[in-house]
Amino acid sequence: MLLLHCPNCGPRNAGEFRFGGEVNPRPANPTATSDADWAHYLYMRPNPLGVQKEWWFHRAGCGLWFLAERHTGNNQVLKTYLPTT
Amino acid sequence: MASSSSHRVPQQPGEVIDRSRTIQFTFNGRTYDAHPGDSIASALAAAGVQMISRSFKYHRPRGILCAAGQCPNCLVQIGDEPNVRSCQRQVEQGIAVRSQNAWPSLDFDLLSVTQLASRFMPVGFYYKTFIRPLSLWPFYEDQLRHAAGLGVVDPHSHPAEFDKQFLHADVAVVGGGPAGLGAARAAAERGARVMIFDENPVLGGHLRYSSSRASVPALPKGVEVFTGTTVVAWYTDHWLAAVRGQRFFKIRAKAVVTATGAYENPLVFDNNDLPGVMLGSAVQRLLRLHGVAPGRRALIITANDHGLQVAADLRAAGVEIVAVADEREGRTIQAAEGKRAVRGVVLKNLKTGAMESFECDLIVISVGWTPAAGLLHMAKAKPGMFAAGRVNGTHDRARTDTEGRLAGQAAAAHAGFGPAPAETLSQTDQTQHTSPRARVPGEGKRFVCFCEDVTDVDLETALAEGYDSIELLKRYSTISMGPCQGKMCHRNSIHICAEARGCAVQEIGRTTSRPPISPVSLGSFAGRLMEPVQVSGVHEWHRQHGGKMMVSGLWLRPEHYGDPVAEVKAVRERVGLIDVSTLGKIQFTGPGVPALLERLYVNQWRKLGVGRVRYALMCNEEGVVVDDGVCARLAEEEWYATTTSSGAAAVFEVIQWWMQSGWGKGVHATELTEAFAAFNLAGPQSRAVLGKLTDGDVSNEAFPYMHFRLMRVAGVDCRVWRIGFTGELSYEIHAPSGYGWHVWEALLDAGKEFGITPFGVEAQRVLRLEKAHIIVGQDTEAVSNAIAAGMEALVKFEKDDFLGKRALMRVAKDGPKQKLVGFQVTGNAIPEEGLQIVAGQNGSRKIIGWVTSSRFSPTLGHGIGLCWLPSEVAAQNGARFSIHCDGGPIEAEVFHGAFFDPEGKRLKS
Repeated sequence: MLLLHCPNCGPRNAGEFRFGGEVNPRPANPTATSDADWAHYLYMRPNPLGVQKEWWFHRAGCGLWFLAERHTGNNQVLKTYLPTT
Repeated sequence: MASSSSHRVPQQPGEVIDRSRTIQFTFNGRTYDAHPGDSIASALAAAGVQMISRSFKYHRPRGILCAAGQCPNCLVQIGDEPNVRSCQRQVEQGIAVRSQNAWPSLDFDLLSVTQLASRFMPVGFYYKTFIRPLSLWPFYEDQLRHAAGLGVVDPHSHPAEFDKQFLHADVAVVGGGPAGLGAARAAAERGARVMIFDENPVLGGHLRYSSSRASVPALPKGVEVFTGTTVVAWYTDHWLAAVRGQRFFKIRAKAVVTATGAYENPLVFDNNDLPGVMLGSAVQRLLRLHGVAPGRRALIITANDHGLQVAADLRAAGVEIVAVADEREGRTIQAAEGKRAVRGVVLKNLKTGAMESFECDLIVISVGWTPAAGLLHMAKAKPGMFAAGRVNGTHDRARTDTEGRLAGQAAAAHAGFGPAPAETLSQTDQTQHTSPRARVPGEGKRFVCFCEDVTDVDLETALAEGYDSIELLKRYSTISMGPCQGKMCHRNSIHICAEARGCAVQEIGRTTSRPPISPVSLGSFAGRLMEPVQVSGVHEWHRQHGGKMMVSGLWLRPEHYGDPVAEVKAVRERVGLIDVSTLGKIQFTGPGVPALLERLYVNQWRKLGVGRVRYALMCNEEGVVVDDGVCARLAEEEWYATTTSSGAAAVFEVIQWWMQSGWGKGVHATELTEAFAAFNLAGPQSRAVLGKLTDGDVSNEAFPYMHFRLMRVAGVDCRVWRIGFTGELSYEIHAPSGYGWHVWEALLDAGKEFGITPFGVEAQRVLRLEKAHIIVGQDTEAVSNAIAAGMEALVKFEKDDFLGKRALMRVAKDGPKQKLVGFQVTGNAIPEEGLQIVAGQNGSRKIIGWVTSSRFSPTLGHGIGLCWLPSEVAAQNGARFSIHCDGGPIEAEVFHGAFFDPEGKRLKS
């Protein structure tokens, strides 16, 4: 089972987390976005073979979302950190 | 009558049996003696029993092959437990052991005639034969289940208690043979926390029984030893799964040393499955560990010095050695002879082709080894994964010790204990020859896979049919898919595949190694039957007062207290009290809250005054309704919202996500679901009841509908909402959880004189339906948008942005295709929820909608509900439609607005 380093709680089993998918920024002004771009935002994901920036939620821990950079090919998690917004 | 132990040899050093005591067990109804420490298989071998089971497909006699739990040949049933490896299970006094796959008995198996028809049952037989006609499949299935099975599951047996346990190690060593012991010692000497796992009852591996047997070295203090424990899987980041009896271990290690040893290879020749054909290591285990010589006249087939050692061991135990056929000298086996067990053997001269016959009752096969590399294949080349000993192809003792030590040091270093060892070893120097031969062609049956009775001819047929990739060959022939998980057949099937394709063995590759490596009872994975439940602070009160509890998400809630219709009437006529502690509760604090709420919910929030409450509807980006609740402004920068009971956790996660994604400036959100108990006091007398318990002004003027007050109720500071899901004058009182029981009882006491009645979820469902209030998730589904659900009035398009705005603008422009609308039935029938609404006659009938909520209304005296209908139908008040039902259609008509008190006078009174 994948071991994830929660930025708050340290290394924990992946079972404690909810996976939040690839980072997929929301268009700043949805009503001014074209149908194609909006559909792309809602439904299309790059799903790369390589390092992916993704969301994780520490459901059984601190209850915060954080970001992980994970290689989808070998499951290596390169780093995890809290969003800076 | 107990049988004599005629095959016992004199006491062996290091044997695991206690000869001073004798216990009894039965095998197929007959009583046998055993010594404590005997396995079922060794006790049977001691009594001269060779046939232990019948095979899966052809019902051929089978006996001990590996004596190490790696083959399917000695699987037995003990009581209600099927598929027990009899060579691994120790005899207990009085156990009743039965053979599997034999009918009516092991000795006389009627179904063994299937082998006479085997020419008509080629590989792929099931796929080819039982396909047509499809209607007969249930019959085929029943017959096949009877003929080919692996023990019997007793559906009435009492489930055992299976437990799970987490372990944390710096270094996990899998395998307690010389390499594993050396690795454990080396890692522990560096200060690492070391755990060592071995499936045998004691550590030592082949040191206990093989030609290179020696005393088992002791481990340093602090090493945690798990014997009788099989590591069955490797998962990401060195997370190992292991099983010991009814305990399932989940082991998180920083580094892993695999010292799992090797499996001895079987050889594929005519009748190679006859009881009495045994691997050399099996013979040594029986001899050294259990003091049993499994034959009186033995013939050895070998390709290396190990076979010669076995021959020497047997001779020393008093067994006559008929011949030793050493492949290196040009002789091998052609066929085993005998009907139910080995009675003779035919040897073949590989140069001249000359045959030679011998009489014997034991054929020892010792032609080479396959590394037990399942875990390594699962892990592939991962940092922190190390191997030592036979799994590395190393059979030499001195080199094994060095490998073990280096692997232990390297693993400790990986876990942060000291530097990596500088010393390296040259490429493996193979000291134990492994024959490249997988089979000897002949005229009889030659089994590659003992689990599922796959012969080399079956493999050739499958290869000829085009299944020539090893993965396809596996799936088509089922080779390596039986209980042994390929331990006995994988290597030989690869060799046969290479032979047929005329290529090198390395080019064939291997099938993917998947968990579990060894068979595991499903109960181990399942663990104990523990369903987590959440209960409210007054759960016990509900139970003590006849509450019929129902499951609602993770919660247990009272469905009713005996008479839901009376509960509905009590709320409409007098006053009722319902426990709604399950509602999700979130407190928002800070100057940024209005901006956040404007984005999260479709409603308007900036202008909501302090002390006011608003219904809150949340959509996703597709405009689909995901949750609803109410939200109050407690103070300028203090807000308090509720969510649905089932959505509480997920909604909070989504809110958190938007806050952390940039919408959370100036806001702090706290989930208070379990911090507050919540009770809804509903009915015309609710004001009178509440008034008795508070000094606060509860008059309609001071505390109007859709307002919120902080109020002391029964001496407790409570948050009180004046809202009305039930359609009555009502107050929702949120008290700190610890005071929940007190407030609940105080409300009931105060309400006694007014005839207060506790009510459950069922009455609430009826009450809200009479008001046509929806339940998110029941009346809406994964594609129901807010406009289609009839909430258009709440959607504030004038706001800059909110979740779902773009999608809902589109729906508003195009108009929804379907709408959620109320209906009332015109007759007496009450349609079930989920029924389809159909239109048209006979051939042209089609489904146009469905019922989401439906109840008999005690207040109105007829059936009412909510349903989805095409917008044009839903738009006409009174439009008639018909609900499809087995007992004949149910006629209904569209009903706009609330069924009861449409003006909401009672709410606001």
